[in-house]
Amino acid sequence: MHPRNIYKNPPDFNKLRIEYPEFAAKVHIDVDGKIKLNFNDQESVRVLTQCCLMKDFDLKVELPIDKLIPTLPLRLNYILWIEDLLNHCSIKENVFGIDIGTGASCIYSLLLIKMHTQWKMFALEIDKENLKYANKNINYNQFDEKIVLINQEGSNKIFENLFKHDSNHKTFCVCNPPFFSSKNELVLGSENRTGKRKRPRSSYKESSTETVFTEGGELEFVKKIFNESLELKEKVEIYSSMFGCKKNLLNFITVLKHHDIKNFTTTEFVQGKTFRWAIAWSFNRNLLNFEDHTSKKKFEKKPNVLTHTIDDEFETTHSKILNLLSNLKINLKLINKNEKDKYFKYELEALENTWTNQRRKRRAGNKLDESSTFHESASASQEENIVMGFEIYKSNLKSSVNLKIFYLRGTMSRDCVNQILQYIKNNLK
Amino acid sequence: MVYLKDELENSPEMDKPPKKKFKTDKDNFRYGNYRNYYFKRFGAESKTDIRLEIMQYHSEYFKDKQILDIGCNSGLVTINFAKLLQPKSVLAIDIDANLIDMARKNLQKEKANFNLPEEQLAALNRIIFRKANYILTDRTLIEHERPQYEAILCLSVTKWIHLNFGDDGIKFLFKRIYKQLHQNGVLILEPQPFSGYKKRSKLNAEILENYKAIKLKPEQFEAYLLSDEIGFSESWCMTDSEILEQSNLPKGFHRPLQVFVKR
Ligand SMILES: C[S@@+](CC[C@H](N)C(=O)[O-])C[C@H]1O[C@@H](n2cnc3c(N)ncnc32)[C@H](O)[C@@H]1O
Ligand SMILES: C[S@@+](CC[C@H](N)C(=O)[O-])C[C@H]1O[C@@H](n2cnc3c(N)ncnc32)[C@H](O)[C@@H]1O
Repeated sequence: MHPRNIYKNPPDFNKLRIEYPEFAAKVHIDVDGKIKLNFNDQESVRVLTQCCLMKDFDLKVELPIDKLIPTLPLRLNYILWIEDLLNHCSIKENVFGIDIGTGASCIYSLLLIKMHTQWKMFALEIDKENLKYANKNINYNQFDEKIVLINQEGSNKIFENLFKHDSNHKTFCVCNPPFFSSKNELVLGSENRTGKRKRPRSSYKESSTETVFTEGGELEFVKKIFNESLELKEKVEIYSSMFGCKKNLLNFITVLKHHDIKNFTTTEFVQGKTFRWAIAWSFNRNLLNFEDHTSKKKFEKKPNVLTHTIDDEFETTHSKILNLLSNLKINLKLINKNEKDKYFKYELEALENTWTNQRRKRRAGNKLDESSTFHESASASQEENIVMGFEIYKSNLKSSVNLKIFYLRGTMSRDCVNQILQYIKNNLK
Repeated sequence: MVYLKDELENSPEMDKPPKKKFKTDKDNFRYGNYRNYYFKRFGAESKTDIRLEIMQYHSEYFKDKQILDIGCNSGLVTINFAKLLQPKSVLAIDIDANLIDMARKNLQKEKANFNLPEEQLAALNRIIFRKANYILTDRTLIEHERPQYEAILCLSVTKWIHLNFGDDGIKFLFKRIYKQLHQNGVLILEPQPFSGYKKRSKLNAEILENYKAIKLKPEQFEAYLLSDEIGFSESWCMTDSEILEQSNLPKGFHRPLQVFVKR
């Protein structure tokens, strides 16, 4: 979570319930009086989002229930990162932003204008319903002077209509691309693209195709932005987009490198167990040094150690786990051991993600359909790896075994560490 | 069946004569949260609690139902309840975290018993023990309470809630129970008589004050629960006086199990 993100600490449900009767109507209390919200219920999430926007940003936003409900902490992370980039590039005045695929909520544009009243936003949208709601939301907040809604209906291009409307230079673009390439990917792939807990599948029923499905998924969409950027060049100083899937980001980086574009930077957004990535690139020479900006950040990150305790005998657990790891084709290097105290430390290296495929295969009843084979071939061509630290030792109090696992380096996402631990937990039972 | 006397007369700390006005060192047990409650109650040999025998005659209220057990102590009655009555789920709470630890350990021990029939083991797996004070500090939270249980057990707990949280606390207890029950759900209440309050009233200054201010006596609980302020529709007594007579239960334990039905 970005240090300036006000949702570093979760919203105060108690204050919200007292202030907003519509929120009060949604909460449950547990037996000890803790206030809970059912995050699997779209309607509850919608009300929470609306109330937070009202309380924390003084924004009145109408969110249709059948459309994507934006996750505020995640949206803010992206916005704050853009602020950081602009700061880094010393851009302070005359800021004109583009919000590609603003959605019904118009969320990025509304937040950005609220936080920077001097800026101006251009919000692009292709879906009729979304356009209608976005327009309403702009009106509600009296931002008609600040946010220009650009209708993309019938357009094959991303930026064409925008520059037809206003040919001036733009400062940056943000984009949360339409993500699923097919229904299969929706079922098998990234579980919680909204950033919320797992979304019940039924809530997609009404979703219009444009919102979540797009030919080729998010990668194709961002590639389209990129291809147009090759022509527009410095018409937009900083291009950026979010990715919901790390593989797509890595693929996109290969595309950038292929075009010899070095002036780019990436980031990872973490919210609980949800991971998102974003990339920004630029053709403006003055904006170089992007790389420094991120590498500094990376080193600041503390290793995130995951722990787990197993109530079982040391030797059997140890050998079972070594077996599981070898099933996953994870290479083991013994770093340190102390047989007497039953302590072993390993370095683990994985060259491909075998654990999620395992999961997918199991879910899909061992049937590999087109989309997942596509994923496998994509991953094979990609030079992926992840190196982790792993400790296993006998607890000196009880007859139980402690595990510690943490990310060290590599191109694969950090959430792999959690997935591997989960895999071990599930398969030890 | 031999019962030793419970907290009424024979709790461990009662053996010593009281010296100070308030037994501040006993403040630890101000909620009736005795560690060896069931040892005191059943003696060394474990016996079936008579209340469970009675409830077995009315198993239709519990079998495959969702149950809340308020003030479960170290969980022994809860565990036997689940084994005998096969509820769908039991959430058992106690205000004392140490007792919940003990309850969890007791449950583990019970599950480790190899001779346990399959369906009893399955029933044990449906018990959850949690530390919680049923009397919420923020009383306004009650407006969010929704029906979620088909039966709520509140056995030998009212005295402690009454002494610690006063009439307000007791009223909150009943209101919350009513709101948490589904339609046709039942409250199984075993209230302690007022005569036993006095002895406990000197645990600390707060309790003494609460004790003195009590207006809603246990004898009035039934009428109160059936009044519009709470809303139960019917009540009846589950305890058959014959069963009580047959058991060698000391007088102090002749407490009826009362059933309140929400319609
Ligand atoms: C994943 S949603 C993002 C919505 C919103 N920005 C958010 O973050 O919650 C992607 C949006 O892009 C829109 N979209 C798809 N193709 C587009 C295009 N060619 N031009 C503009 N918007 C498009 C979709 O209709 C959808 O509203
Ligand atoms: C006398 S024991 C009864 C145990 C069990 N219900 C039985 O009848 O066998 C009373 C229990 O209620 C618990 N208790 C008292 N006040 C409570 C409250 N406000 N919330 C939850 N538990 C409470 C005490 O900690 C104690 O363990």
